[in-house]
Amino acid sequence: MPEHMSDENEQQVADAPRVEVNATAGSLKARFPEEVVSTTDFQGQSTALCKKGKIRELLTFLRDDPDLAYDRLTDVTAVDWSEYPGERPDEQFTVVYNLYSHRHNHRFRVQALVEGDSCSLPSVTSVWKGANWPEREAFDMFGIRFEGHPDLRRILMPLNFRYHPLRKDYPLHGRGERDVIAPEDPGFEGNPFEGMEGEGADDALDSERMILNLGPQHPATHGTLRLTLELEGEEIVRCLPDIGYLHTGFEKLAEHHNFNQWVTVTDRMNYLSPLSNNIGYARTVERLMGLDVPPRANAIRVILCELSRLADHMVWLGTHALDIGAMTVFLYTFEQRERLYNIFEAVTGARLTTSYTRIGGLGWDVPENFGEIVREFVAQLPAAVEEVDRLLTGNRIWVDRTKDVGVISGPDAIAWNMTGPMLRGSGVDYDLRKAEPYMGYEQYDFDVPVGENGDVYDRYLVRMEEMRQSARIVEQAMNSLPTGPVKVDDAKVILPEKAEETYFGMESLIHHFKMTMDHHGIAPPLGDIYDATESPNGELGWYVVSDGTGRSYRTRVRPPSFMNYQAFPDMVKGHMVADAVAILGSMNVIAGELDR
Amino acid sequence: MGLETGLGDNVITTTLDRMINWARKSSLWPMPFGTACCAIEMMATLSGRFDMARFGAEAVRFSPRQSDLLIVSGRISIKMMPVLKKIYDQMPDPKWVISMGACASSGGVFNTYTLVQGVDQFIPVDIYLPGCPPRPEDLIYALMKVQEKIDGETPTRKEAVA
Repeated sequence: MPEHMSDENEQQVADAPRVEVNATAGSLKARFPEEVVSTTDFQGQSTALCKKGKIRELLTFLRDDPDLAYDRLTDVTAVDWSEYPGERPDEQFTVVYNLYSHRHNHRFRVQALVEGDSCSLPSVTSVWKGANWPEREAFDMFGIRFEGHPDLRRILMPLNFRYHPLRKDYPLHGRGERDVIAPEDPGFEGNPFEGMEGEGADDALDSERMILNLGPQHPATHGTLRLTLELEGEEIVRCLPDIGYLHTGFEKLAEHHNFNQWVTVTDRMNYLSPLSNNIGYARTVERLMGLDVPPRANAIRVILCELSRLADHMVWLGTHALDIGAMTVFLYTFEQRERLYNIFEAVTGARLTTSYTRIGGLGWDVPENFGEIVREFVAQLPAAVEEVDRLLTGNRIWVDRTKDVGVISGPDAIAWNMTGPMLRGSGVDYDLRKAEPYMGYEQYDFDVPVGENGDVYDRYLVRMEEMRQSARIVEQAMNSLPTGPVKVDDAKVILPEKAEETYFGMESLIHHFKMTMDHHGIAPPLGDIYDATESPNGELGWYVVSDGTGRSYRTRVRPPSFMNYQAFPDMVKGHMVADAVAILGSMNVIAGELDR
Repeated sequence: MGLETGLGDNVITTTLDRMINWARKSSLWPMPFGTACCAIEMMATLSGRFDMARFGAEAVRFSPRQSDLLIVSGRISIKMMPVLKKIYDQMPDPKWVISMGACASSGGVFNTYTLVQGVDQFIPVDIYLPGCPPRPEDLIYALMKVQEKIDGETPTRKEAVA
């Protein structure tokens, strides 16, 4: 039996769709023949493996060449290849750059070789501002030094942490750091602005400047964000966000969980809309394996994604208004959330930690009364949104607090790698559901709201309109909900039904055993994949490296909150302290996905 | 009882302990140390449908100096633990602690390098509330357990009576 199964796996690898290396790889090779080591193509995605020396020039070329125009650096991360069983790069690390071109709607990936002993390469923060935090994270997690980075400090782990946790030689449970905790976090000592660039207070005697610490336990910082503000009177001169207070080690756990187990972990990432995480992750692994889920599963996923968007926006709206002083809205939106919880609970069995998807479909079909409860919810939603709309949109205080506050322009938003309502509020019409339709979003008729000024008020309007549009999508998807199975029919991917099959058929029992045993289970082909969905906060991306076993070799999450939040210091500069709270509220930073 | 008959219907007598306990348990001021998923359920508990005000604990204060019930809801990382410890130390006595959810109580599903495997290693905990996350009803139950615990205390005497 095992032999038979391994044959099947090999078959699967051979059948994986292969397309021509896209034109980018050719142009890159022609321009940098010495630098490009190899180019690969896997499941429709192209990657160029390059030497690190001219990486900055190479990426600048990719950005500036009009035929390529990769104006967005979607993500920077790294992979430690030291334990990879397959064909691996010549050096211990690669730094992975995921690129996207708004003009051509193309994606491309560049991997730069970094040797284990020097462990450094040029930073690309001068090319894209948005490379700042992802590079810091790669430094924190892998110890890779980015030469020329303006502020290369640890970002997620405490400053006095000694190791680089995502290296393969660092154990999952750590080396005892979690049992002995120093009473004082070094991050709180001294002046964090010291030695940094910028218009600091040169003459201490002449200056009225004050350092104010906001958070991490402050009501407006939503639990775990910390800001250090340098104030001139009440005006913010400089701001330094400190994150990582909720770092949980999700990505390390992914290397120790099998694919379906890790779905549970994704619930706890953006806990305002766990279903979008479940679905985004399952889709990525399915793409890695070249699987297509049945139409019914896709339609249910669309409905649940949009309901999650509503649930997420409801918390954003409630807390954003609460932070600015409008308590009533919080009570109204949480009532809507309770109604959504009832739907989620009926479908998944849990209010919040849903874990509903499986690789290859859904855990189970929706209950019989699904249509009824969803329609009932959608029918009352417009009135609820209108109620809040009447309370806030024309409200003098609300408008004064949000208009022209925290302005960011469209090109800046792209350079900072912003996505979602943050980007659309700045007038960039980019929504993954339209740009790269997935799960059949192209079948539904909906609008993508776009702002004009890129201020807090516009972002508010964008999200409000998104709620109405989500309701439209849900309605259409409900009306055309196909019948049929919700899982792929493949015993190598989906667990057999226990009551009907496992207990009664030898074959099913063996499949069940194989699927659940350690180091067995789903076996995707060797390779790496990046896939993204439009989560309520923006592009939620997943980069998965498979070593052919039931666990991922490396899983990287590209959290929208993390990328959006790095522009915060720029956005608050020159504003009042109270505006910082309004801007933070408009970003809807979710610490769970920010820190992972 | 001679004394009570003399005082009429408008006055009742009780022990000082019981009166103090009654006041304390009926107006707990929570300090919500909300970090992750559990904090969302805590917010749900505070809002309309579940309404913690019914139990006298709706006056949420983000200042530890004004609170007497610390609700640790969410994962606590090694970076966050010193902050939590400081907040606990800043709360005036008497104070009680609810460790809400699996992560705060034991690390939950996250047995990783960065997560404190139970906040009780560093601060005392009165009520452990299981669940991932616990439902709002569970949090209300935990609150009632704290109230029960307060009821058994003897604030006028130092040694607790068994």
